[in-house]
Amino acid sequence: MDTDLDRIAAAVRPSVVQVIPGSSGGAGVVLSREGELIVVTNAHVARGSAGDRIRILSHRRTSYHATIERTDPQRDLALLALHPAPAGDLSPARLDDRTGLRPGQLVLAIGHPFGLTNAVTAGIVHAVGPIRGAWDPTPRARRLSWIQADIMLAPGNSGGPLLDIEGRVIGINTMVAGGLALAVPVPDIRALLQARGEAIPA
Amino acid sequence: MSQPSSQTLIDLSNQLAGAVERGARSILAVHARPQLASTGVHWRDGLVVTTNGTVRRDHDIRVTLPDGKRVDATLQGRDPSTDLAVLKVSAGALPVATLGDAGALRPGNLVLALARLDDTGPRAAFGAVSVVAGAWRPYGTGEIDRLILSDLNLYPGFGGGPLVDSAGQVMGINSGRLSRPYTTTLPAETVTRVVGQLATRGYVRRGYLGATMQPVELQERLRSRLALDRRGGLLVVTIEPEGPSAGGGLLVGDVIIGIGGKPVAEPDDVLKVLDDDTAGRTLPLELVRGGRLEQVEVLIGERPRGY
Repeated sequence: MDTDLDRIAAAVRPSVVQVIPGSSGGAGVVLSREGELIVVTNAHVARGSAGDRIRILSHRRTSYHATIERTDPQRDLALLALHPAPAGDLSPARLDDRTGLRPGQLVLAIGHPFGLTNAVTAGIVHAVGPIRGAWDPTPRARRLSWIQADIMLAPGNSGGPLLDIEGRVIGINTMVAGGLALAVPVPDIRALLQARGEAIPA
Repeated sequence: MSQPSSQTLIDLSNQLAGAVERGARSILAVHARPQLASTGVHWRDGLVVTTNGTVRRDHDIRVTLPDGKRVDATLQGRDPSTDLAVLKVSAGALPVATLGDAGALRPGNLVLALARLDDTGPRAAFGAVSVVAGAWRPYGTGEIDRLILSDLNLYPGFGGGPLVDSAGQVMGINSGRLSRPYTTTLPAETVTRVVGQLATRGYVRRGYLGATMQPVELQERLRSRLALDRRGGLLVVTIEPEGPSAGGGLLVGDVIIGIGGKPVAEPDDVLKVLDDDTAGRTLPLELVRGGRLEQVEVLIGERPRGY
C-alpha cells in the first residue's frame, strides 16, 4: 500500500506548486483552462506577496512569475496567470466534478506545511456542508459549504489540493478550524475558472 | 490522461465509507445541553445511549433522527460512574446498532468514530486502536470491562457516539471525558450491562458497606500463626453510623481479608465484589480481629446514587 500511495502522490506532484512568499507560505494547484495552464490558490496566500509579483516554484524547483487574474474574496480563492508560459514540468490536475463524497472515504493532501515541500498527509472525509460546532471560525464561513476532512494540515497547506484516493482534486485546502481541515469544493473552483469580464484586483 | 490508481486503496476507501453509512443508520443527535448537540446510539428497541456528561438537563431533551426529524426524548436514567445515560425515544423505523465484539479489537486495527449533530448527515473521524487492556474504573466506582484507547480525534459533539470497526459494527461508546490525548471507548459489553440496569431500575444498583478502609500488610508472625496464605487485608478506618457494616457488627480496627468467600486486599477488590448485584444479600466478612480470625455477617446495602 505504501508504494500505491507513493505512485498516486507522485502523479499529482507536477500539478502542485509552491506560492512564494505567501503570508505563511502556500501551495497552489495547476489547472487547465481551455488548454492554458493557470494556478488556483487561496486569496490569502496570493495577497501575502508584495505587489502583484508572485513567484511560483514547480515541484522541480523551476521558478515562474505569476500575476493575480481574479479572486473570489467570499471563498478565499485566487486565480494566477503564469509568465512565461510553463514548460513541461507542470501538468494540470483533474478536478472531480462528481457529487456524492461520502464521509469515511480516504483523502490525501499535498502541500508545504511549515516549509516542508510536497508533504503528503492522509485522512478521511469528515462531513460535507456547513460547519457545525462551537469553534466556527467566522459567521460567514459557517454559512458556506465546505469539504470537511479529518486530516492533518498546517500553515503551508493553504491553497493546495485535497484529493480523493485516485488523485482527483475534490477541494482547495483553505483553513483549519477546531482541528478539522476545511476545503473549498469544486463547484466554487469551477465558477472562478469560468468567470469572465474584468479581472478583479486583489 | 492515464493516472495511477490502486484497487486496494479504492476498496479500503469504499469500505470505510460503507462502515460510516452502516454505523450511522443507528445514531442520532442528542439535544440535551446548550449549543452543540452530542451523539447517541440506538442500543435497544427505543433506548438510546449517550454519555452522561453531555446530558446537562433532565427535561426538554430532543433528538434528531437520521432522516432529519426532531422528536422528543425522555431521560430513562444515568450512571455517572460509567459516564453513560439512557434516553427513551419513540424510534419508529430506526434500526438498533449492530454490536461487535470489543474483545476482538487489537492495537493497530482501523476504527472510525461517528457523530450526528443535526440534519446535515453523519460525521466521521478515523484512526487506529492504540491500547487494549483489562477492566478499569476511570470514573470512580463503576467498572469498565475493558480499556480501549485509540488515536483518533474526538471532535466536539462526538461524545456519546460509537466507535465502529471497518465493517461498521459498534465496538462501544466514545467518552469525551477522558479523551486527551487518546480517545477512550466504553466497550459494548459494559454499555449493554448498564443499559439493562437503567432500563429496569433507572439507575445502576451497586452494593454498599458503609465503611472506609485502607490496605495494610499483615505481619509475617501473625500470618503464620493464623495459617493465612494472603499477605494483606483492608483495615477498617471509619464506619458509617446505622450503615450496613455497623448493623453487621464490624468494628474500626478490624482487618477485612475476605468478602463472600473472595479474598480482598485492595479497595478495588471490594468494589468488584459489591458490583456483582449484592445489594440486599447477606454476605460473610472474614476478618482478623485482635489477632484472631473472625467472621461477621453483613446485610449489604445500596450505594447512594451518583457514586
